[in-house]
Amino acid sequence: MIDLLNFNTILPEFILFISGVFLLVYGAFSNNKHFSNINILTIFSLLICVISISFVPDNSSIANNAFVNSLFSNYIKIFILLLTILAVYVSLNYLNKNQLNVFEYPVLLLFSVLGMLVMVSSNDLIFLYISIELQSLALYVLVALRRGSIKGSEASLKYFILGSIASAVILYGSSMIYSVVGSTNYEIIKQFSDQSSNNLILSLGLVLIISGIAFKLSAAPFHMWTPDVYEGSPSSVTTILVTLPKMAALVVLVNLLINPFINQVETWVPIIIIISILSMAIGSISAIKQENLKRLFAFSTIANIGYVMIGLVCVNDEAIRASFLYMFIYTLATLGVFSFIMILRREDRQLVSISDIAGISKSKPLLTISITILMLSLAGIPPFGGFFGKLFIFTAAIESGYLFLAIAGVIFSVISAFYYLKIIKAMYLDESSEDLNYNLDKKQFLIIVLMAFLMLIFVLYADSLIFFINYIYN
Amino acid sequence: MNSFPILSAIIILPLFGALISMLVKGNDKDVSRNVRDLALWISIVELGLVFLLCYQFDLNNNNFQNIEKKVLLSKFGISYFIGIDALSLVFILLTSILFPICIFYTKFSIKFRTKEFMVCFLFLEALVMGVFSCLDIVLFYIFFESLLIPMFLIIGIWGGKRRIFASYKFFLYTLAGSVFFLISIIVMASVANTTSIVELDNYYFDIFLQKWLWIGMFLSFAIKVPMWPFHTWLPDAHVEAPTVGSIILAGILLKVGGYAFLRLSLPILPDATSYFANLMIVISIISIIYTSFVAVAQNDMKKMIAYSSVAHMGYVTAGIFSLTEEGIKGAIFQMVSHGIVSSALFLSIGFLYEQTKSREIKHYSFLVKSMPTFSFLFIVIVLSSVGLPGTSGFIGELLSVLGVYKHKAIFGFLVATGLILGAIYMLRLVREIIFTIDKNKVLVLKDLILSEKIMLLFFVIMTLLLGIFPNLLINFIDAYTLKLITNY
Repeated sequence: MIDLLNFNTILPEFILFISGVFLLVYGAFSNNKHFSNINILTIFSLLICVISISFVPDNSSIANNAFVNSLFSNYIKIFILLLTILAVYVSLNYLNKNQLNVFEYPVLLLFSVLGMLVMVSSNDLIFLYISIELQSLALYVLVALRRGSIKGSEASLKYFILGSIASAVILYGSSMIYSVVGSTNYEIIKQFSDQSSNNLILSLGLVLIISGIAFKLSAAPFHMWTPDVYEGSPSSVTTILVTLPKMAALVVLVNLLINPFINQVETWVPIIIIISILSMAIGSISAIKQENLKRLFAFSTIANIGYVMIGLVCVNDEAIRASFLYMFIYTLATLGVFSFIMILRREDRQLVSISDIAGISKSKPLLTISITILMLSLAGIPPFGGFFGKLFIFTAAIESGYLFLAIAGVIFSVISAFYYLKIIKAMYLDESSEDLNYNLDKKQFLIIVLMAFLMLIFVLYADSLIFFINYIYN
Repeated sequence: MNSFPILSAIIILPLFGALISMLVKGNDKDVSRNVRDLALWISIVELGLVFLLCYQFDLNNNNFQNIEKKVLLSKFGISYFIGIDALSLVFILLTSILFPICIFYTKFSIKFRTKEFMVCFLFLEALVMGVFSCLDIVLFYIFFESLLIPMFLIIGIWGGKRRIFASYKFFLYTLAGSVFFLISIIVMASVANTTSIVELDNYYFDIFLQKWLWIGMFLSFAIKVPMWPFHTWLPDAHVEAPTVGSIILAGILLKVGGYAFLRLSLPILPDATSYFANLMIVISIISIIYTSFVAVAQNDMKKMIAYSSVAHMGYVTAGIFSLTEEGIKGAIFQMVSHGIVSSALFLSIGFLYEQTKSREIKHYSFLVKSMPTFSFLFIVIVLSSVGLPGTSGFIGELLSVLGVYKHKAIFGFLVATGLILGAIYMLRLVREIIFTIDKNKVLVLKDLILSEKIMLLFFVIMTLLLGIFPNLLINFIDAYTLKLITNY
């Protein structure tokens, strides 16, 4: 029975769950006529959820410490919820124009976000597994939303099968850990792993869980699904896929590695190093040949996850803060980029190829400048946000003695600059064959400009942001 | 000293101008005229501000002046920290003189998308001013790297046939070098726990670390200068860039590399600098001799000038790493002189190119008849480039060679051979296009119009002025040089 005194511990999750169920019923009975209402209600319930987080005690837990809130998890939840609001806001017109305006869309999104919130707070392998499954299952369906499209079906099937295998691997790893520890709770696992530092089954279980989470993060060598799924799913769903689950999965990975398995560093640090270098390499090199924007940014995501992983390798608070800072910059820039992909539309057709944006700078100067800033930021060219993200990651790596990771990082960032430049080149240098005077969706345009602006003036608020991250993560 | 932040104003004014330029609206013709006028006025006001800065500058004070500092990031105390000394001021002055001339010249050379061009150009000016005035090493990197963005667009949009290849090569080549500089910066900041150049000057890194830091910086600066064997991006970039792009590239951006050696490598890493000095002079000698030979073989005038730039920058690096008073003075003098001379050369070729759309040497002949004024001015410029006494090129090269000779006689001898090689290809250029009579070539050329004459004449006067009164510049950098070489 839920103790009423502790009820506010799960208040945001509860609100999200109730609103999800309510919207499901409302949608089912409204016959899909009130799609815009449902969207407004979704944004509204997400806002209430954000407000309700202020009622959550900082250090509270329920269910025998299986679900733990901290200052850090609360702020990460707020970030995820706000990002969801932006993602919903930015895709409103996209959904209407592409006949995806079904009420299931926001409902499934709410359930997926619910899964992410539980992921962030989970302090128990069972909770971890259930929450990952909840967020993934909802996303599998969202990816499959475009039933008529062959690529969409392929993507959803691929995502579903591979995702299920990844979940199964996590479950298998958890059961191994349970078999030696006798509990699934992080604290008890920590006590056990502190005492027996080289327990083979424990290590094997950990490796399996890392693999499963790396799949969710789309880190190499578990990245195979990423380009196909990103390409096949509707762009609004891809926007969600590249931002929200990545943040949640990073928090899960940090919670898991830094808390119960902190004494197993010799097991997991080499693995994360390999994942990091492989992700950077594959992400940077494979993207060069891509002509499809969504595939290109799928590889860009993989590369960026590689940089985030460098922070985890260093196993100190400052480096992990750098990882979160990088993730923050990455999610904002990517949100802008995918808004751009959604905005590209001509004569009832979404444009996804680099050649489609040729010469766009002539008719849409502000849009082009914004995208240029986002590209340069992702490429890590100063003075934009992405540069500072990389600066802090490399600083953390060098201070922890991983100079080779920093050198690998800079080399791959030069390689990746090539394909970011390719987009700038297409916009400014190439001549367009068609008339590009189409109307831009105002909401998406606003988000693009806003994100570019945030990247542009990053240096002005960077210090406050770092101070804030220090405050919430210590 | 005074409350008005004049140095910040110098950095911000072009940025401000660029933002205003973006807002100019109307039909194409009006926009391009208005934007060009606006940019011209901005750059003239900028020049005025720089003169004011020079007026206020205290030559006897050997510390940094006009210091402004505001902490941006508490990590390592990365800050907006700017200030100038004589070295900075020389290059700030050079920049602020070249920009108005280039903007004026765009009237003839940039025919489309003028607004975007001016925005890029003003951004470039702001960033160059930033590079030459900042005293925080991370801030330096930010300005140093950001330079690539407007230059990439300038080459890529307004360039010649292979502009896309050239702009990519320029961007990626330079970026690849710079990232190792970034690693060096992070290591330095982590060890010394500061990013202020002033504090780093006084921090002692151990010799092993110095060598690696030095190599990281070298990769970046050597590409920027450029030194053999990292020079291959330069001919492509120069050939494809529009005339004004070439002028800025040769006149200012190459100097950023030399400036960075003087500002960072020499004072911060003295032991490594001494350790690598001989190697650097050898590379410089190879630069000078090798690229001179390559220049002899060129048929494209712009490419020839581009290779001659590499050779001339070889004197700069040789002078710097002779680590003698004469050598460093010569290097700075040579940079200024090359800034003037190469700009004038590219401008001259631009004049010819606008008329005929050809850069091939064989398409021109007997210009002395059809373009007498041009021929006269061009020959003076070429003679300055060759290093004839009485021109600025002579002083720079003489001092550099003298410095290198003091360091090691054989090196001095080898560097001096470059003077002869330079004369071979430059005088061949003059002979082919100005004096050779070839009846088969029927290209009819008009002589320069008044504004073009004035532009070229200005450069001629500058080079003669510095050639006849070298003390104008040498006295200016005297105190700076003496302070710099106290470490060696």
